[in-house]
Amino acid sequence: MVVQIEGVTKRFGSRDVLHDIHMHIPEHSIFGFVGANGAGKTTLMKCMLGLLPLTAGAITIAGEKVTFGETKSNAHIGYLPDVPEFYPFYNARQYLELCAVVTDMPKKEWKQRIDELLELVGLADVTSLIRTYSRGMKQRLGIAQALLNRPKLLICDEPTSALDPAGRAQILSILQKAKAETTVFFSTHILSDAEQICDHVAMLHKGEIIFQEELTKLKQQFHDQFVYTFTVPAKEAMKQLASTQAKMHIEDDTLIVSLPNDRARLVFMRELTQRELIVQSIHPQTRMLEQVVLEVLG
Amino acid sequence: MNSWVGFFKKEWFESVKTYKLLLVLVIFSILGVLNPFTAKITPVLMENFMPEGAVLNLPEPAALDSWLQFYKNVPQMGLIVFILLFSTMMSKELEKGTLVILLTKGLHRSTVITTKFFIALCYWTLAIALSFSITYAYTAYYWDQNSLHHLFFAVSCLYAFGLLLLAITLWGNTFFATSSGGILVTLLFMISLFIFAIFPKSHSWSPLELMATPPEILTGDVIPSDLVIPYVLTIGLTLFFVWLTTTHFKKKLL
Amino acid sequence: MNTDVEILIEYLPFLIPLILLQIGLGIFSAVHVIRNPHYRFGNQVMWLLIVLFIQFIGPLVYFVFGRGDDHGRAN
Repeated sequence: MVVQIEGVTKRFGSRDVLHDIHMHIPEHSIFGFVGANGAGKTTLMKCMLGLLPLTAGAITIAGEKVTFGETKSNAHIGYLPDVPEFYPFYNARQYLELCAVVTDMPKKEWKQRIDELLELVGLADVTSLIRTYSRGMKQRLGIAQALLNRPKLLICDEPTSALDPAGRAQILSILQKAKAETTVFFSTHILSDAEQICDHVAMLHKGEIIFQEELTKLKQQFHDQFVYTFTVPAKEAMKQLASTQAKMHIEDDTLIVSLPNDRARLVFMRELTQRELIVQSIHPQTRMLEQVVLEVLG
Repeated sequence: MNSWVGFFKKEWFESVKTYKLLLVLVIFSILGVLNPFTAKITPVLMENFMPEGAVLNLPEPAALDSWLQFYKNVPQMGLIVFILLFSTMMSKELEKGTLVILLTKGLHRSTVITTKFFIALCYWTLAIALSFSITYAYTAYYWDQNSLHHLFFAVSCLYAFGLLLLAITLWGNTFFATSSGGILVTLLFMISLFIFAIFPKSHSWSPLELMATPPEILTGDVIPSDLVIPYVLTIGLTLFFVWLTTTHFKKKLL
Repeated sequence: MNTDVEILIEYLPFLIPLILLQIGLGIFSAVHVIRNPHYRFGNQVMWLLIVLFIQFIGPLVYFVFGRGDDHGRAN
């Protein structure tokens, strides 16, 4: 486990922003940290970086305990803030060189590592100053600086939320590549982003972890669900199908049916034809996280 | 040590790119020329503005007048300009959040403060050296400065006082994290020094003496040993404020 | 009249550097104001007047407080 978070509570004034958080992040995984804006995601990340003192509990990163202020554990972390800010008068290479000095990287390793990273984030051919960068470019430079000293843990705070779809796809693919050499912990409020690349997902709601699971297990849990739409409203269809064995519920005028095996699926098809329900579309359930959110909060 | 030098280079690069070098060079050159110029032209102007026939017995300007202008212009105009230039060193980074990444990369918080103070110190050294040498060159060309005492000691007093104000500005700027914080704290400090100066007893220790007495040092009315306490106190306070800024910044929430 | 010219010549060693520095700084700042039309506050005309007509404090205030940092913010 590269990160162990044990019973962390963070109080601002009389309000618990984080309440008794327990979380374990295994190595070489992508850990998605999902929650609405204001749920406390950034607060937990800042606690992990020693930028905020804890009210209770402890955080250990790569075997090093996190302390407030200057903390040794930061040597193992690369951090990408939600809106990364750089010195506008540098270009990408100059900025990464500054980061390299600050991290005490041996000088002869600089060039190769910086070339490697600029290639990874697609900034190798950009020579203009950072002040001319778009948000997406800043975000990518942010990942490059975070990966510079080959950290054991990469913390990204909402890396995709301010970007357009193309920029988001770029960031997600970079994070996926980064998994080869580090562990990625990233927060997002966009569920589909987490679903696309994560191995583990934890969900924070009002300062508490309400859900923490491996995504593959989640997929098993949901692989038997199918989404149907009919020529008649879903409500009516459900009324007609009420006598069947299948478990089902309605969502956004679609009927979601659990059909665990081939036999059940065939039976269900027969029921449909018997009742003269015309299927407009059918596809397997993919929005698993949304389902979980609705179930847990519902 | 490497990261100290690295961050110092960044500070230097930034100061050039934000035109601080240019401004310091130009403004303190102007001040340097202005001192002997004002000293030389004042009597001429006075005569021209006098009504016809009035005879004015103005003494010929001398080297002392040029240096009096120096100790009027540099502390007033020069120091104010300088404090303004370097008053947003910390707040700019704190407001934008540019330090967060570097600090989480293991940059020591004390490095940030000490490099920033040191770059301001370098610029102040440059500014004073520039103004001083230009005024010195002109004065030496037009007048005889042999009668003046302790030229270099006098300017070092002003230099030390400037460093104290820089340290206080840096502290205020870090503590309040706004661009006006440093200026306000420095202003309050100056006001309280002037209030102390009302009481004659304060003249034996107040750092303000370093700014006020250089003309009397030049004429020989004050000798360097009279200023030992203000001098030591000023340097001590400077170090204290740099230390205070560092300890405060170490526990600052970002 | 004659004496005025003499006085002028006598003070040339002061006037030349003073005028060069002041005007140079003013023009440099004005060019910067025109070429970088992004300011933290105020508009171009205001900053042009300030850097050209307030001697050396004008350019200082412009470069320290008025000059904008970012050129492009769009995606």
